Amino acid sequence: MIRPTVLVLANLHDFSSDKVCLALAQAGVTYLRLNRDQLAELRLRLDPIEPRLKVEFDGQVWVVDETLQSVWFRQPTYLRNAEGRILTAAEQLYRSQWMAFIRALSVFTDARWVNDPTATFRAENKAWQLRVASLVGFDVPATLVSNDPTAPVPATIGDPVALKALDTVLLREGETQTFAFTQIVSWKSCMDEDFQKIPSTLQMALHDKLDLRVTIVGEQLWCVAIRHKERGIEGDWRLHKKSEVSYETFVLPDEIENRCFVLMRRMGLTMAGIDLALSDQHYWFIEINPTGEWGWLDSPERPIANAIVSTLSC
Amino acid sequence: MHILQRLAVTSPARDSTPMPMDARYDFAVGVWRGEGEAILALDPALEQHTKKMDVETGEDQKGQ
Repeated sequence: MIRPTVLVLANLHDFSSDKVCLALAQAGVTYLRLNRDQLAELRLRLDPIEPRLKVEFDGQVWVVDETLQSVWFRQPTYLRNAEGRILTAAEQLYRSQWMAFIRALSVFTDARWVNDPTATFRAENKAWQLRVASLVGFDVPATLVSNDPTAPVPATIGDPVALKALDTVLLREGETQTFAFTQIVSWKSCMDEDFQKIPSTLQMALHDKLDLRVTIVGEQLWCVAIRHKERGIEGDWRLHKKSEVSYETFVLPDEIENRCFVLMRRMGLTMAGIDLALSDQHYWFIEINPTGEWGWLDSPERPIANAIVSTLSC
Repeated sequence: MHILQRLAVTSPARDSTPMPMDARYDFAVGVWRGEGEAILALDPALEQHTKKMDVETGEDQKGQ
């Protein structure tokens, strides 16, 4: 029987959690990784009052109890409905009840959660992100969340404008799915009869910008500049082929680094990926991703997995 | 159609993310192993997989 001190809550495809598990093993930490899409293959018994979780799989037994020190939480705070088809009753049951089981693991209140799911949920609100970033002193591009085609956008935000979704747009229709990236568009192109049907985010477009990705784990910070063919990228850098995009270490001014840490503390986060943009000598806050991807940046130069393990182990 | 939807990038839908080829998941260790028990997460050639196999679904774990 194994009593893990670290619980990894992930899914089978979260390859960056493989790196965390490897680093945990190398550090001699006892841990257990539970994947949301694999839970039905396990035999689970959760006593929410004790609290105590018994896990059986393939003849082995793990018991999670008061010795649990920390939880690496790589889970959605809710599931986006992008199925594009009606789920069967059994699928609905599976989906709702296993998500509830993941939430039920919050009974391990004495453990350190990285991140705390409630902090993640709150920090995923993009409008709130902008407000808090502004409060801690970041330059934040002028922004309007609106469905009003008569809003004075050119005068207050600019034209063209960066058009963004207020929440991730991932839509499924038949055999295709669509994802909405940030687009630089003219205000005139937005002003049609459909604009009023949903709210969207209109933000001052930044030109001649350099995208910066800041990864923070505890008290450690890494920053990379994202370039396409050695130049800054107009619009959304994710629209370019990955093979043509480079990520190189970038040294932030101390003041901006400190501001990132203040933002993390203000949001109650231990780990996050922050998107900044350097334009016109200003470090603009774009957004923060409390469940941000980081495996693509992990390297000997940026030992993010090891930092996560240090945070989980201390 | 709203401009957000009109300008969204379309890709083939998939009902589930494909599992790594010729690999098995090692539950006790929490890693994928490939040929000769090699750990996939340490294979530089496969690091592209960490961005969800190049299909952007957001960074919040809700769309995978």
